[in-house]
Amino acid sequence: MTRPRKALRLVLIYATLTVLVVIYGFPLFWALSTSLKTLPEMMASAPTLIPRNLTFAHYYDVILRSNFFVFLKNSLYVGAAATVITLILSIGAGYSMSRLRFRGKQAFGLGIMAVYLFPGILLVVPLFKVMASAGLYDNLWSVILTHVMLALPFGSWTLRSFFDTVPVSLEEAARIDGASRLRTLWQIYLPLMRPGLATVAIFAFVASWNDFLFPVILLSSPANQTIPVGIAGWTSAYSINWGQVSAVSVLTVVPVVVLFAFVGRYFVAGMSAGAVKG
Amino acid sequence: MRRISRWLERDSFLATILAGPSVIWMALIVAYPVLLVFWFSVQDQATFTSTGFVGLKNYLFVLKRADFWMSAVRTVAWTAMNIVLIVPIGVLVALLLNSDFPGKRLFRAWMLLPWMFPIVVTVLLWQWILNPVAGALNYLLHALNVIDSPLSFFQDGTSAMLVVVFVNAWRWTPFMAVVALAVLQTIPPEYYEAARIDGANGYQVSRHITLPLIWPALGNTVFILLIWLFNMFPPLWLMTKGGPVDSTTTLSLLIYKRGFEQFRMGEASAISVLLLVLFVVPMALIYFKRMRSMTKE
Repeated sequence: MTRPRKALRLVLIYATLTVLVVIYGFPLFWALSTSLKTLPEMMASAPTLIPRNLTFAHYYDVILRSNFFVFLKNSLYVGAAATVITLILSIGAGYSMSRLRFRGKQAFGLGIMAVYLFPGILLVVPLFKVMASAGLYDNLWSVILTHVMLALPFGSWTLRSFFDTVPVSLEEAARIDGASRLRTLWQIYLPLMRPGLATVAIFAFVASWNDFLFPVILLSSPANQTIPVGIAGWTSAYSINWGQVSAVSVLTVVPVVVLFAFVGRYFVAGMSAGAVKG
Repeated sequence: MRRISRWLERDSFLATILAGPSVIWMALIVAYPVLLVFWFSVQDQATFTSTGFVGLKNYLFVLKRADFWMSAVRTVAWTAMNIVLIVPIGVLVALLLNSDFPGKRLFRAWMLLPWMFPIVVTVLLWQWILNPVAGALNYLLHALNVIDSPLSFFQDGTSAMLVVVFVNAWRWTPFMAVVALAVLQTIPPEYYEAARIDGANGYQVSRHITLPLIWPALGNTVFILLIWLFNMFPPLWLMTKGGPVDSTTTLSLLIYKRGFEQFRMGEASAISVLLLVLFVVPMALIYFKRMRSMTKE
């Protein structure tokens, strides 16, 4: 390419990227800005981009005067438990699909993927009744058990493709040395598949952390709310305090951003590997 | 003891203990509830615990009413509008990020972030921007002399629907872009070089090389996205509660309203079954056909 054309191409690329950055960056920036403004400044007819009088009052209210930490604790508990269960089930399912020969193998693989065909809304009525009759209504475990649904299909198929990439000769060598198959799975396969395991874990945790539908239906008492349901409840009050809402939005997003800064690259790579395969 | 360890070396036994738990979980949390929803749909809806068989009464009741058909139409419209925004824009963003420019790594790394925000937060961020009293968008439109008086985006049915579609597309386009970019990167660079030597321009390369190559791999993702969109509940519920006057009530919101606002579980179950039979089953058949070719080794 000639020089001017190359320059023009770069200008076009950066112009498009700027538009994207504004569309995607502004909402978050605006929430951050709002969360630090005083009420009059927030509702002023000529809004300011950067707060003139910084205030941390909204954060103070959210952190010390609300149930935010109760919601946070519940969300962390549900997310962690759902992630662990999803990982255990996906490792077993992925290994079976990749390395074992058994009757009904194809049906098993199709069946797991078919879970995605029954999105939450179709299952809420019966699940509500099942959990109620099992005595799990308004118990965090009802949500944990259903949240496995959000990531098990993705997890099993992603790990299956990661198991596929480990050379069979490694397993054979370990078995000649006398290791059992379960031990090879634990000591040979899993350490080699850390990126895959991390991808599945993040996917499962974020899916659970973000879910709104199951907690709203299966939990009722304020002490059992997760973050999404808890903060959605604040906004249905007759007057919304946008300062507090912005502060809680920022507080909810910060862990995701921090997590993403550390592991985002691996996560995107892992998801991409799954997408290319499937 | 030795017997157990010998058993543990067998494929079928290992599969039982490794894949078995997933089967049990699927049976309890997915298969059993799906069967139950059929059962509830022929039960008396007025009672909560003690139910009586009422045959197809719930179905007739649902099918007779216009709100079911209106919701079905809205569901199709909602899905179509979302797909039309998410897929092309996602692919275009992926094409952009697949090209070579300083800073591309940074963009590729952070692209997925908006998709990972809780939907509740995404909705709140936009509701604040779109707020009719002190919202940033109204201020901007007013300052640019586009409007005289502030707009209430959620007061009119059509604009409410369009706004929710926009916010949902905002959330899902990055996901589409990440998948499309991953697929794009599997195309061998030789293809592009060959095309360039033959004198193809950028548009021709995209149209005749890139798109035909990425489409088959994108098909699966678009397919799953289609199913998710068709049954999507949170963005619509959180932004509009299905209003104003039902104008954003899709079938999933109808199920929720019947079941958990009016406690007419029988009717809600009947709608779920209709959704299952009319949409999910046909999609499942296509899906299994696609998947079967993949699971064969």
